[in-house]
Amino acid sequence: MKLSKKHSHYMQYDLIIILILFISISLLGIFSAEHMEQYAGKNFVLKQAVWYTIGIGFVVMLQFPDLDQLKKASPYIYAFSVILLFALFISPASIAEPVKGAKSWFNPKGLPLSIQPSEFGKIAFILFLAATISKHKEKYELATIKSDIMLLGKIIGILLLPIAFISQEADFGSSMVYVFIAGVMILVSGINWKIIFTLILGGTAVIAGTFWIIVTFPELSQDILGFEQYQIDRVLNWFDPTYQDSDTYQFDLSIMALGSGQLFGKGIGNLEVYIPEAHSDFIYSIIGETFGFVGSSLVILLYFILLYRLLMLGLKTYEHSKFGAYICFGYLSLIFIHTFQNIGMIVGVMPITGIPLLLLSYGGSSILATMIGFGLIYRVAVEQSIQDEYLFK
Amino acid sequence: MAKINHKKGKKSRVPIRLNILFFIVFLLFSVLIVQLGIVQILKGEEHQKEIDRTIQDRTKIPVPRGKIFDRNHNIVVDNKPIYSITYTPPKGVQAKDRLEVAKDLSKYIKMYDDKEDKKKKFKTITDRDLKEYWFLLGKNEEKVIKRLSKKEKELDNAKQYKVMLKKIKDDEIAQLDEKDKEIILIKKELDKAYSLTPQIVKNKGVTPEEYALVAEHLSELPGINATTDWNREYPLKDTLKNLLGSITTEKRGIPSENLQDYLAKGYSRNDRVGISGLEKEYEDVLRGRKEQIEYTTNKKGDVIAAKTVVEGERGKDLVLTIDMEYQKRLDKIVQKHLKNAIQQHPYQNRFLEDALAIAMNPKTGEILAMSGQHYNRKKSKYENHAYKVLYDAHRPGSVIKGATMLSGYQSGVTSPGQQFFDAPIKIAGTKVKKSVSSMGWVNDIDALKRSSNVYMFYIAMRMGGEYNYRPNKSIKFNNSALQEIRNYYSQFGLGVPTGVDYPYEATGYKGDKPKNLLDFSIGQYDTYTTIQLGQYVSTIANGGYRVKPHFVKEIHDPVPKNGELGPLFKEINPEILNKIQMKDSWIDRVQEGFRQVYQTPGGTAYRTFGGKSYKPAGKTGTAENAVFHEITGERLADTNNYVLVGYAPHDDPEIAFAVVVPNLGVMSGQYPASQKIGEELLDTYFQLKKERVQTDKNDEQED
Repeated sequence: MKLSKKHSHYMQYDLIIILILFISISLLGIFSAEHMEQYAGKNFVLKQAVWYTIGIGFVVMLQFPDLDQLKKASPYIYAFSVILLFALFISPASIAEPVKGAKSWFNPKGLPLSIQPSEFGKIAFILFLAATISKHKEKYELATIKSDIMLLGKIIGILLLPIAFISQEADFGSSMVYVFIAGVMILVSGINWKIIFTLILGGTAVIAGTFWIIVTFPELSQDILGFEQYQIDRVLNWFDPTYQDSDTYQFDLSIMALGSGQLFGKGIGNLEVYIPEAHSDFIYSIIGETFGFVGSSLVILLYFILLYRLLMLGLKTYEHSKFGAYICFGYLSLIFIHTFQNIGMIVGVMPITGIPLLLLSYGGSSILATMIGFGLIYRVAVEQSIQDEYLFK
Repeated sequence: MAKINHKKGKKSRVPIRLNILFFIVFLLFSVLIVQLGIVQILKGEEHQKEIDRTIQDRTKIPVPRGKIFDRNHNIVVDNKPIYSITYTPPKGVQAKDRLEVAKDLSKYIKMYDDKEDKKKKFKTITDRDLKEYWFLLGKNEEKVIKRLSKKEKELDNAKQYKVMLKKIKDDEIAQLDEKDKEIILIKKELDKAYSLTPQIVKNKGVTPEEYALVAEHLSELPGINATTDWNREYPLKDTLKNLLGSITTEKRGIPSENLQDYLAKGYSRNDRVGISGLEKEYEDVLRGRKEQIEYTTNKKGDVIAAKTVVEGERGKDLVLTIDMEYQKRLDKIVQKHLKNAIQQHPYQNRFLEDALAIAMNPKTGEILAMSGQHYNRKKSKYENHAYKVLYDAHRPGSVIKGATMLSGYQSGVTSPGQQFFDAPIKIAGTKVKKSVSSMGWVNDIDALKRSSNVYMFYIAMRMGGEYNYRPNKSIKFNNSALQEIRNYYSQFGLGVPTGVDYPYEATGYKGDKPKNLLDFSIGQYDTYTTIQLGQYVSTIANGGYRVKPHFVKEIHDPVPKNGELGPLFKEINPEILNKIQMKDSWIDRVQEGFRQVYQTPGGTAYRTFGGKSYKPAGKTGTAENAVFHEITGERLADTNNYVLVGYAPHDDPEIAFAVVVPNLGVMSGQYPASQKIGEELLDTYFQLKKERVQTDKNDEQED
């Protein structure tokens, strides 16, 4: 009786249903893209299914350690991820060949596999942030300005280490994700408003200033701030869609594909626009063309449900495990920023950056890392479920 | 208490912040959905229209050029089919795609004929060709990209490509073997092609095996086609070739100087067009109508429909007025007498190079034969320069006296039967001017028959208003007289375009010194082309009608059968440019004079033509013509132009001719080249006519 009850904690039906829905949509989207003749002879659906299967394996494995063990392991996991990023940074092109200007992958010659450490790093980053914040909160039950500044210092320190390497690899999108996650974590770590306002004000000023310089003095920002031309082009293009000097080819095709899906979509196998590499960063456009407004807004709704579930889980967990709660908040911000940036880019409200739509885009590293994160969340949910029962008793 | 409160406040801080954050998430997601609605619902149709927008392109498929036949329907210019392999690239084709095609094609065709040719062709492959090829192979592009510095990576595509080619090492391209080079030769041809326009990959020496192999494998060779192309073929070799003209090669395409005109007329850049001679004159007829296929491509570049918009039609065939058998014989005749003159008096005739002749139908203007033989002194070789009949103008001498006589009648200064006393004319301060001999009293007909210069001088002086010539006194005449006579001459076609259907003809030199009136009146001043003289004598022969000379008699629609003429499309009718103003009775006088020149003793051509059964008439002429050094202008020698015009039979002329042999040396016993040519020209004409009647009779008997 007890055993079966305990066993049932491991069946988080809502999370399982959400995951199954995401897997199905992902595979359907890639399947739809593969109907274009340009994909002839390629089978990304199968590969994606394999990644998901491995990912599910990770999710299952992550149910064995308890949260405390994970918390204790988190500094080592984080350290390992930073070492990986550093290794990538110093690797020669023979094992880390830049792709489209960004050196984000280990892709040794002769191996069919390529690993993107920054994707895994995000999860390690969230895990370690959650551990640090929760430890800090246990240590300083009474928060003072001083302790808050200390916490802020820790978070920023944890942030700077990985993005020091990532930004060097010209992976602007990933750096942005790290910064965003850190920002949310600062906000929800309970740090005094005054400090946060100061930070937000300062941060906004820096960001606004940077954009202003890019838009007003594109050449200067390239020479002095070290931005790459393509980054500048993207920002300029975002502010001024008529700015021509950039390669918006993929975007132009994408918005045409998405728009032409209209209300109900064209259905699988009837796609008309070939977008290069559509199965990865532009998968949402394929979904939009295939399933129309109805389908694509349901996808947004599904993300919203996932985020809401994470929020609720985090809030509940907060009472007994701050570590678990901050994992939820971190993962929530990760999913959110990827979703908003990627879909925002495809519908034309955000600039073009090469970051994938988590859980849907094709990609081994991104799927595996997201599934590891999902495994952690699942573990937290299981723990919460057990706690609930315990409290109930 | 405060402590607890504080703690509580602390605790609640996080959920509130989360709720605010989540509200923002909600708002942002709403923004996404609203924007999604705008893109998919509001603008959805617009996007769909953009996708559905198609692009129409037309491809033109060349058709064979029209053929050219002579008046007896013997083929003069034919099309020789040559197998050719063409490439029509689809839209948006990449260098890599072309390489694939080249690789496949190299299995079936070779771009050279033999080992020698192979060496030669391989030599045309530049390092750049090799590098471009190597760059496309396997993962070489990635390899080279790695060699780029950060700066170089930011260059625009074209510049970056240049830099990348530079970074390819010599030992890398040295690895390429013969097979690669064969592929490169093909690829180079493919690279020349414009999108959706057929480009010939190989058309020289395509063997029937190659043609068949390619034709069998067309499905594996996107854009490749095996077709037949045509080369101009001249079964009669050099005969008249430079009058027929030439067409451009595929490589040269339409002449760049008139690019826009040709493009406006619907030519493609690599079309072969007539650029000289009749090929140019009748380009619009000969070119035919290209088959036009309209391809509809969508946004993706896929061809979704192909429709034949215009059916192709081979160029129309020309039937010339030329009688090629007669032409061949005339060429031989003219060359023979040119040779004779040069060989008999090599020194005196050292400036003799050309002999020109034209034979035409005086009533219709049909050019029966036209020969220009040229002795190339540098190569010691006789060459066909028939175009000189149209291009080169010479002083004609006395042959124009018929026109001078008629001018005299017309202006009223002389009339039929008028006599003048032929004795040397001595005007104060000038050289004596005289006829060949002093003839005493001569009337108009005698003046023509014996070629009296003095008679013509009297006409000219009177036309200038001078009726009172006295030996050793100065004379006065109106300066407008020369222009007046020139105007009369132009009624005969002298000094004006004859209107021949040819891209170019000269009109001759017109002197600007009215004082030379007397010389002018005997053909010693202005120069005229041989065809102008032909038109002039035709006008006299046919009773005063200036007819337009022409090369093309009929235009026929093409038929698929080889060597056969299709239905008549258009007949070129005789065109009368003008009727001379002179009265018929005056023309009769000149005709009689011309008849006597040829047929009565004492006529200047009687020795040659007396007793000919075909009743010839005409006029001889010898014009003094000094030869000057081309550069220094130094007077090298005095020479004479031997000229003869005529027609036969005099009462119902069917052939008129003009012969000009310029620059024969001044000497007694000179070879009478022009009369010799004229005699054989007429003899041959009537001989051929007889032969033809004979053959026809035989044919009838056989039937």
